[in-house]
Amino acid sequence: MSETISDEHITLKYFFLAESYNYAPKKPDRDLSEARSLIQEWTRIGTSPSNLETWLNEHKTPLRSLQKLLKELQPQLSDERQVEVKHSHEVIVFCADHSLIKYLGLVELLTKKYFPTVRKISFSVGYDPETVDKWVSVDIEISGDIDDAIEWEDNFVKEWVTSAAYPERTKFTLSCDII
Amino acid sequence: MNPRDFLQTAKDLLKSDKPAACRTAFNRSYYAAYNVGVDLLEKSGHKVSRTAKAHNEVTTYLNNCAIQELVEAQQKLVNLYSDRIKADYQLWPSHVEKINNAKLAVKRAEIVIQTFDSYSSACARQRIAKGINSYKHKIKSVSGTSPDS
Repeated sequence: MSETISDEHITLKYFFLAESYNYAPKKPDRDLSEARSLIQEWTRIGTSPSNLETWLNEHKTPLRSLQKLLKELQPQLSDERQVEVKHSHEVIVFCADHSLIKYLGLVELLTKKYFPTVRKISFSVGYDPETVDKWVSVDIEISGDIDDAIEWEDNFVKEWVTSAAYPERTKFTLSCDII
Repeated sequence: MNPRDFLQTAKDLLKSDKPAACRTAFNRSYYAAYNVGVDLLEKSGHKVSRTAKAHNEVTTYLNNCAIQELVEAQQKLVNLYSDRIKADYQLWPSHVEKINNAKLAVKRAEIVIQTFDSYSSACARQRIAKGINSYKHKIKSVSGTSPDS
């Protein structure tokens, strides 16, 4: 893979986070309809990094307006809690290659929804040297006790398996670090 | 042997909070739950291979057995699997060396096993078999090959 990953790729995550807002109680619907139509256009031509570059080059004006829109949406998309969210570039490339980008937004949203004490969410690529399988490892830092963590994970998993399609959902794993 | 014994081993290990004990508890917790899952699938008539790809077969079958509780249990098993890989292969300090996180893994495995056990009756195994057979039939009709071929 030769594509370089720019901030625009990271920004794309928020396009999908915006789309995923269907799952949340608040719906900033007027602006989201515009964002959603642009997302649909991008997914129509495919979601690999190479055609993402093409799409970005061909849609400079919409992209700029979308970035402006996203900036305006940020306060609505941000949780009131201070949650640090980290993605490696490797995970963005992996997700783009496997059509998983939109699930990054969904995972982030559901994590904030079901883990009330989450402080940090880190996305990285997991790798099994025995099978050479890869997946997205979602590592979260939470405070609380073991029973809390079990209950929150249970609620998270219930919504995750009904919201995310198979087999894509099996490409995400959740690890809790109780601090 | 009974795979549930791995869970007791994990609990015994956590009498110590040493990093190696915590990491091994993650490993034993995963294999306890995984092997109970394999046993359930095989008793439902679906053979699981004895190679590294068996992990994926268990994921595929449980995800497509048309029983929501087992789909959820499978997702928790996948979470245990990911932690087990970190515990076994990534030897830099991390959350898999902390006793509370290891206890969480043990508890999670217990819950997964309880869910599998709640489907161990003949009637429940028939439901599982029917769901997976239906999935295999769909795959075969689309691709011409069975997912386990």
